[in-house]
Amino acid sequence: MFSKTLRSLRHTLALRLTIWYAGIFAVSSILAFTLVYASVVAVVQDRTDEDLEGDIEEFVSFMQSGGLERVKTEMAKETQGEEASHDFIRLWASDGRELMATDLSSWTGLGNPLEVLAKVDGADGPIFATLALPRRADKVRIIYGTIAPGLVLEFGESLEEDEALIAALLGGVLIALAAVPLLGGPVGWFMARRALRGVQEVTRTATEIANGALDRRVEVRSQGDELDTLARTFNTMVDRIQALVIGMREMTDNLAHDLRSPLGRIRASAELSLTSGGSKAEAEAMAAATAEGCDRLLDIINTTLDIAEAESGAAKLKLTDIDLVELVGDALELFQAIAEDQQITITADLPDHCRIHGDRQRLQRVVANLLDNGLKYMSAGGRVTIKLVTEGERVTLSIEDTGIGISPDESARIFERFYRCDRSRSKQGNGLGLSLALAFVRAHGGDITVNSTPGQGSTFTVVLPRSSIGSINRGGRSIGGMH
Amino acid sequence: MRLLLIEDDLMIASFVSKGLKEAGFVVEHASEGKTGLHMALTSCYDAAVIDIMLPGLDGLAIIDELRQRRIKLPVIILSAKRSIDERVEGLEAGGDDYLTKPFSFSELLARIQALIRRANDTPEPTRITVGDLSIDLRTRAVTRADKRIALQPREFLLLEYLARNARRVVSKTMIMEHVWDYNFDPQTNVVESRICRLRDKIDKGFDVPLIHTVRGMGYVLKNTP
Repeated sequence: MFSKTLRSLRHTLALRLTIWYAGIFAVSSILAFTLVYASVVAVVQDRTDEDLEGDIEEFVSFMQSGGLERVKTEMAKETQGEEASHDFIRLWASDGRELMATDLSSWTGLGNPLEVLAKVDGADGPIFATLALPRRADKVRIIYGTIAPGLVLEFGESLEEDEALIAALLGGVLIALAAVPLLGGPVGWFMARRALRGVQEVTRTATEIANGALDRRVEVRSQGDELDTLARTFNTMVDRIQALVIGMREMTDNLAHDLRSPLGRIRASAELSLTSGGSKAEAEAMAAATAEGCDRLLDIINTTLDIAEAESGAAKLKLTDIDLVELVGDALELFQAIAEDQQITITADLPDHCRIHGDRQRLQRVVANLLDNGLKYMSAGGRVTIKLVTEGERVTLSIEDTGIGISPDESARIFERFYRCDRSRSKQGNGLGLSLALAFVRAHGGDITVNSTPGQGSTFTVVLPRSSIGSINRGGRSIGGMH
Repeated sequence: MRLLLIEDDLMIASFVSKGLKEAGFVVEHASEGKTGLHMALTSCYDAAVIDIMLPGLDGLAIIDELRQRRIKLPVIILSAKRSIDERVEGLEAGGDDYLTKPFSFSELLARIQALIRRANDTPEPTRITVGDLSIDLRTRAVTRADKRIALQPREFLLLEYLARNARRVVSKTMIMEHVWDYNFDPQTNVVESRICRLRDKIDKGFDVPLIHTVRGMGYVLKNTP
């Protein structure tokens, strides 16, 4: 159980972020401390060397002002008492003879620096060296400088203080470095948790939504950061899903309702002819009603599938070059008789030709459905006007009727599947005609809009691209039938 | 005329065989793919009606086998799948025609007869007569009881289609497809209104009506009640 918790903990983003944070923090701390340490060491060394150079210059002036006697006095002065174990001074002739020396009792092991003396003679400035003596714990820094022609002064200074200072610094640095993981871990963990709190919020909401609470949303804290963007995007996604689910539920309800009525009629007529044991004529009427009812059911199912297919982009348009004028003309001819029966005038304003690249059978249905819709809601004396206009790469087909019109509330919904206006319920139809038309037009990369004044009539406007490129690229699917 | 029916749904098989027998065909039925193929290979038929979804061997495989053996039996494919892809696939496999379930029997019959006519190279008739109605397909002249009837072009096409299928019921969908080249039936009853007008010209003033409405199915041109 514990190991399981540990394993799941190891996989959390928070832990990984913490480890990363602590790691980067540690590396940069080590770099920073190393840099500080190195520069402090350099500064300390420089300071010592400058002191020694100063000493040499002093002895140069002693030599000039008081000769060897003065030098001797000053050498003794520099190293009296306690100083004898801290500094030592020797005066050399450049041929290697030791001329004078201070008390060297604490400095056993100093050699004869013949090689250095030879170099100092030819060098521009003094020469430095650092020595470790066998009987001393500290090191010694030595300068060799010429104080007069042929005279080299050797001045040594214990590095004990410098070493103590650097040791103290190193100790401090090491303690600080030891504190880095102790500090970096918790700080990293705190920051990671804080950053991920918003993500956890989204996760919690997503879990609730997955369990069915589709109306839940993530709280947006309006700080404008990435988490807010995530929350907003997430909420938009859930809005869309909720709309789809509601739409689907409504459609299923409507589909069930619309299938139920013809089924009910079929069943009722079958039952009636069974119980009444009626005549042959009655049986025939029943059979006819059954066939008609089945056709209606089939039509609803097929149309629903056609719409779904077109909307999902699964419908393969059979694109060919077609003349829209001819297609609209055929549709007008088809509806002419029934329009005359209803005393409705159809007038058309069409150009000579209007060639587009489209799916003939699907566009036939679009035009027929729109005409069908126009004629259905008109009383005698009404008028339908059809216009076809080409504008650049787009074709606009408008169908204007003088029917009952659609209220603004309803015009937003008439393209929904199975939606039927209050006044249309009495009319024959399955409430799918306009949805189908819209789905087919959209599959071509076009759109249908409606403009209506209740009581005066409606205008449906279909806009189609002349070559249905839009539909070919849609969803990355290729459209068949382009030979 | 001998027909082979390969269909595993026994309800549909019995309804189709009954109808085809009434229409004067001899029908042999197989309810399983391999048996069906065997029958098609060993006997001689004028046409075959083959369902796609079959136990044993599916319809497309049967047609494929027939075509590989260069047997030119006209085939109508039956299928419950209605997508255009399926139709194309069926026709590419070597089927001659395709019908989606559920189908109307009259449509199946019309298609079978058209297939057989095509396969036998039956010469196109130049004149069709139904009772005292006579249609000259070349000059497009229509007379009834020797009285000339003037028809608009589309009305002529409608009458011609009814006449070519005389004594057989044609559905509204079939009419839409053959007369208007629409593969669907608009919700407003455009066909009914056209039939009414045609009836006014053909039957008005005559004792025996020729154009009959068969409720729930469609229309038929015949000179018997």
